[in-house]
Amino acid sequence: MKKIDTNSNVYTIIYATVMVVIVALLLAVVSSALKPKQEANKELDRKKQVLSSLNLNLKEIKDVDAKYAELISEQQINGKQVLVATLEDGSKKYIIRMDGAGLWGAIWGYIALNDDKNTIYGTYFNHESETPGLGGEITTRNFQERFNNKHIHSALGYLVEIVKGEATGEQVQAISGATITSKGVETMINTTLAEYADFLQDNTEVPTVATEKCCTCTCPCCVDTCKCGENDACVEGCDCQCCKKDEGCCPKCQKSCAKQNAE
Amino acid sequence: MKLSDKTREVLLGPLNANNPVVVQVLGICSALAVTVQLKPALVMGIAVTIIVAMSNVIISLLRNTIPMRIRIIVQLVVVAALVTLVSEVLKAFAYDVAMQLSVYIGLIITNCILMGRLEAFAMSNNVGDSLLDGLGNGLGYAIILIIVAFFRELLGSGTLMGFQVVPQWCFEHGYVNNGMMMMPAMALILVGCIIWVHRSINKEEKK
Repeated sequence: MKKIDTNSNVYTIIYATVMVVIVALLLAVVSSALKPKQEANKELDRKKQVLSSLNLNLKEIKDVDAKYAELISEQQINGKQVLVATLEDGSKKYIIRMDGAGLWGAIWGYIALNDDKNTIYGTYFNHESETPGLGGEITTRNFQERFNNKHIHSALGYLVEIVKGEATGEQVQAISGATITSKGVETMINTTLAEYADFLQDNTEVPTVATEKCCTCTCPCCVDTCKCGENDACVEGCDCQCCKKDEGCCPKCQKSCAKQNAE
Repeated sequence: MKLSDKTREVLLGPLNANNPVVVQVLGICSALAVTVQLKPALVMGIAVTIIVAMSNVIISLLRNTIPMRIRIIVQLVVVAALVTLVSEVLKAFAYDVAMQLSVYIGLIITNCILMGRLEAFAMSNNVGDSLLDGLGNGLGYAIILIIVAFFRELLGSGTLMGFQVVPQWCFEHGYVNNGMMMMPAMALILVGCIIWVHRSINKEEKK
């Protein structure tokens, strides 16, 4: 067999072309094959972050998807997206997504407000590349809990103030050694709250009805699956949490599950 | 199975006498960055081992066909493709760890150990030896990462693999986690300590 000259220009160019095409094909196939799984992971991660802002212990939640569907509904209020959470004790919380800049890269988080739209119920922060042990501390519960029960209404508008050293009153104590990241968190919260000013001023009740979401359970009355759509109207084919409540729900039996259980 | 002397040297040399991190001082950057906790360090070690071994095998298979003038580019393409694959797989099956490792998975491409092994070993050795060399070097790197991460997580957070190790009463009696351990500088000092211990153990052998 004639030995090919591996140093000729033609060979080099063909070699490079073939190699690049093979590698590109391989990566494209793998990427599209794994895409759905990756998207699902991202969505699950987002749900975990939202639940975390409600001071829920994620380690105790087995099925994050179900918990999210049970507690949270996504709504457009005054043209802004707000997550409305109805907790197990019946209280209502508003959760707002925040994006900002830390020292080295992006930071983001969620802030949960009580239904007075003033008291902070809980927060969640995360970051891309803050310094571990310093700015990275914003992900710890210890820092996030410093915001709890502070109020966002002040004489100057919607503000949260993060200060160095001892915090008094409505102030939140910064992380020592991470001034820029702490300032970044402050700016992020305050710009986001300013954007949501219309929503925060608006004191009209957000109808609770719409907070019910299609979710999963089996109707115990007729042992059939049902689905609740808008305004609690039942739709067949999916199951829903409202079976667990006192309203009649299942489109087949039209009975209240609570009553059914009592019979 | 008894390993021949050469095979033994190729596979086990990088674990100790010829360790890529503490002897050749390669791959230090990522060793500092991902060793705050044990779990990402473990995943990083496994990822690098797989990538070094596989790219060694591929380059060794291709070694007679690669045009000399573009050999570095070919090596880079192979490494980059493998790194992208590993990163995609991690995002799909170990999302939390992938997020923790963030850019450092992508930066395996620039890890000197890879290019070093490809250029120095795989380009001139057969497939079997290249595989062993890749595994050896990957594991040599992983061992150092795990040792460093073990001490950093234990002393910096009081946990191992995310589980509380230092009992709560220690904290109640005034024990404080060493925040320095969370900083990359401390990883460098730990690597220095490992090199020190390693050199003093191996001193006699060298003579």
